[in-house]
Formats: sequence, structure tokens, C-alpha cells
Amino acid sequence: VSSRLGTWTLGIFVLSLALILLSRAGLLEPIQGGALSITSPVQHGLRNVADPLAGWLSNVRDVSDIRSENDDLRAENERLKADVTRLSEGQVQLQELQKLLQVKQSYPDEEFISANVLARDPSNLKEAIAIDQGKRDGLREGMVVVTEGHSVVGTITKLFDSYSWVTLITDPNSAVSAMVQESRAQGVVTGSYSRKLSIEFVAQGASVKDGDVVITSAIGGLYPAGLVIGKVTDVGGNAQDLFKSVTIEPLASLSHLETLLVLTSFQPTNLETP
Amino acid sequence: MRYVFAFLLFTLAALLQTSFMPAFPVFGVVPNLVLVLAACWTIIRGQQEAMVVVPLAGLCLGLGASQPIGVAILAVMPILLISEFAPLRLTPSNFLLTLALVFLSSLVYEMVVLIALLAQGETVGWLSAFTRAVLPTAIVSVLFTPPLYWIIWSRSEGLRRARAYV
Repeated sequence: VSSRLGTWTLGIFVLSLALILLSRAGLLEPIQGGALSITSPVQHGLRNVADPLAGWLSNVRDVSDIRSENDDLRAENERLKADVTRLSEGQVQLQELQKLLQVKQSYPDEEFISANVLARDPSNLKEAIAIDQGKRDGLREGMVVVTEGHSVVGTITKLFDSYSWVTLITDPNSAVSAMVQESRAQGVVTGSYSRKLSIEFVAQGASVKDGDVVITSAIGGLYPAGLVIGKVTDVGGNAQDLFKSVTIEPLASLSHLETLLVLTSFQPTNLETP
Repeated sequence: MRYVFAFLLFTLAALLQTSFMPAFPVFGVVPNLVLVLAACWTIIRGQQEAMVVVPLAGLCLGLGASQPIGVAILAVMPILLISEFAPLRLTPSNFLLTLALVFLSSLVYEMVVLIALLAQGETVGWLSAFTRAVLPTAIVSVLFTPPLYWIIWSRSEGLRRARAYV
């Protein structure tokens, strides 16, 4: 290595370390936040071009499956309509009973702050997105982020004054206490480097099948109970294994996120060991 | 002027990498377009320009990342060090040399990011990270090299003529 290149590389190395320290101290936040804000409209535009194109390509690829999927969806739609009618009727009856018994609702009203996606982390090793709400908007680290349809997206892991980074549930470092809605089987939903979700520690004897809905459980205190995470797509493993191997598909389309909701009425708690 | 062009090119590549490409993952990953451009620039236009352009590429990547800004600059710097071996001409053409540089520097880049994640207290599964993210990213980045190589190559006609004259 020539001495000129060596000196230059050493200089850049020192500069990089200085930038890392300044960045960790939050002193470069205006620069990083400014860059994200300035490029946000372009990123938004590019996503708007990419998403329909990707959807169209996917449809072309899966054209043979679409017809049968359409039939299945029609049947499911019909069933869901019937369920909605039945549940609406049940809700009315419940409200009347609550009024009669003067019982408070089990859960306080949920409060949200709406946020727009600014950017996505460029690395394939980290599943994180930047949103345009930060400390000064009342956000705190650990707050849960959901889609407009209220399915789980992730939690706020890095908080700055004007923006924050949300680590997605598909990140390899993400772990969400969860349960299978139908059988109440408990487990932990974890992400991976292949951006797939699986639910770990589901007892071998638990009843889990394809299509079951996985929701958050309140265990651990980091997520409120009952938020939808996804649907079971594969149940595998051997009978002699201690736990089932369960793959799930997130309900939220995590690669096409635009507007999100930060759940501000739920304060996560870090439970101490007894 | 060439550095302004480089900055604009890297910014555009970074935006495509983070907004457009995630809709079209190849082997489950997105190519590191900025790193590929920096490697192409280094081989085609020489080390002198690369000494400015490579840190600039790291800055463009760092500005849009959840990591501290300097991490990406550190992670791209090995391009410069590896390019020191370019005069040895281990391959018959600049293009093959570029492919090798993209592959190696992509591996190094992702490993530096992994170390940075580890330093920030995150758990790193080395084997699964390598097989599912690091290696596929290096391969996919190599696949995306030809069009990006052509962009830099076609913009360097004057430089190539000057070198031929010398």
C-alpha cells in the first residue's frame, strides 16, 4: 500500500470514528434528519412506481393461481360478512349489558400518532424504517408501531427529535410474545435474515394449523395483547422435537409501508426478573 | 464537477436501493448499488479519484441508514485498499477485476455492518447472517455490476483517450 494511500485511509478512518462518536452523541441528527426529509418525496415517488410494478409482475407470475385464489376470497368474503353481522349484533348486546351493569370497558381507548415512512435502512442485515415523528411529537423508545389496519409493524428503537427508526418485526433481533388466536398456544415471533417470520417455543402438543391467526400476547410487557401479527403458513418439525416449527406470514405488507400509527396510549414496560 | 456528478449519482443509487429495489428482491436481498458504483469508479477512473469518491459513497449510504454515519464510510473504505492490487492485473480485463472487487468489497462491507450491529448490543447470528444476507448480497451486487460499469465507462471516454495518448 502506497504511503499516500495509507495516510489518506488512516485520515478517513479517524474521520469515520469521529463521525460515529458525534452521531452517537446525537450531534449529527440535523444532518441525517435533514437528508431523510429532503429525499423523502423522491423515495415516496419511487415506492409508488415500484409497488404497482412489483404487484403486476407478481400477478403475471402467479396468473394460474389467481383464479382459484379469487374463488377462495369470494367464499371467505361471504363468510366474513356473516361474521361481521353476527359480531355487530353481539357488540350491541354487550354495550347494552355494560350499560346495565355499569361496567367499564376492559381496555382504555387507544391513542395513536400518525407517521409517514421517510426511508428504509439500505442494509440487508437490518430491517428498519425511518418515520417522520420523533421525541418532540411525544414518541418514546419502545412504543409499538402498527399499520392503519392495526397489524403489528415493529417498535421504535432509535429516537431523535424530529424522526425515529422503527425496527420491523422481521428484523433478526426482533422478538414478540405471541399466541395463536384459535388454540391460544403461546410462543415468540422472531424475524430472520431471510425476512421471514416464525413462531418459536410452540409446544409440540399445541394445536396449530395453516391459516391460524397469530396475535400479540401481553407477556413481557412490550406489546399490548390482541394485535394481529400474521397468519400461519407452514407447520413443520418432527414429532420428537420439543417445539413445533411454525412459519408465519405478516399481515402487514412490510415492504410497502407508507402511513403508520404509533400506539401512544400503551407504555411498554421492561419487566425485571423476580 | 466530476465529484458533484459522483455525489448525485450515488444519491440517486442510494434512493433506488432503499425505495425501488426492495420491491424486487433477488435471492431475498437488494444489491448495494452505491458500493457497486464506487468499485466501478475506482477501477475505471483510477485510485486518485477513488480516494475522494469512495468516502463520498460511504457518506451517501450513511445519511440514509439507521447506523451512525461513519459506519458506512468505514465499511466502503476497503474498496480503496483492495484496489491497490489492481495494477497486478490478476484478471485479463478491467471488467473481471471490477466483478472481483465488487464481490470482495461487498463481503467486507456487510461484515463491517455486522460488527457495528454487534457493537451496538444487537445479537448477531454469524452463520445465518453470512448465508442468508452477506453472501447473497455480494452475489446479487455482482449481477448488477454490468449496467453500472457501463454508466461509469461511457462517462470516462475522455479519460480513456488521455490514457491511450500517454
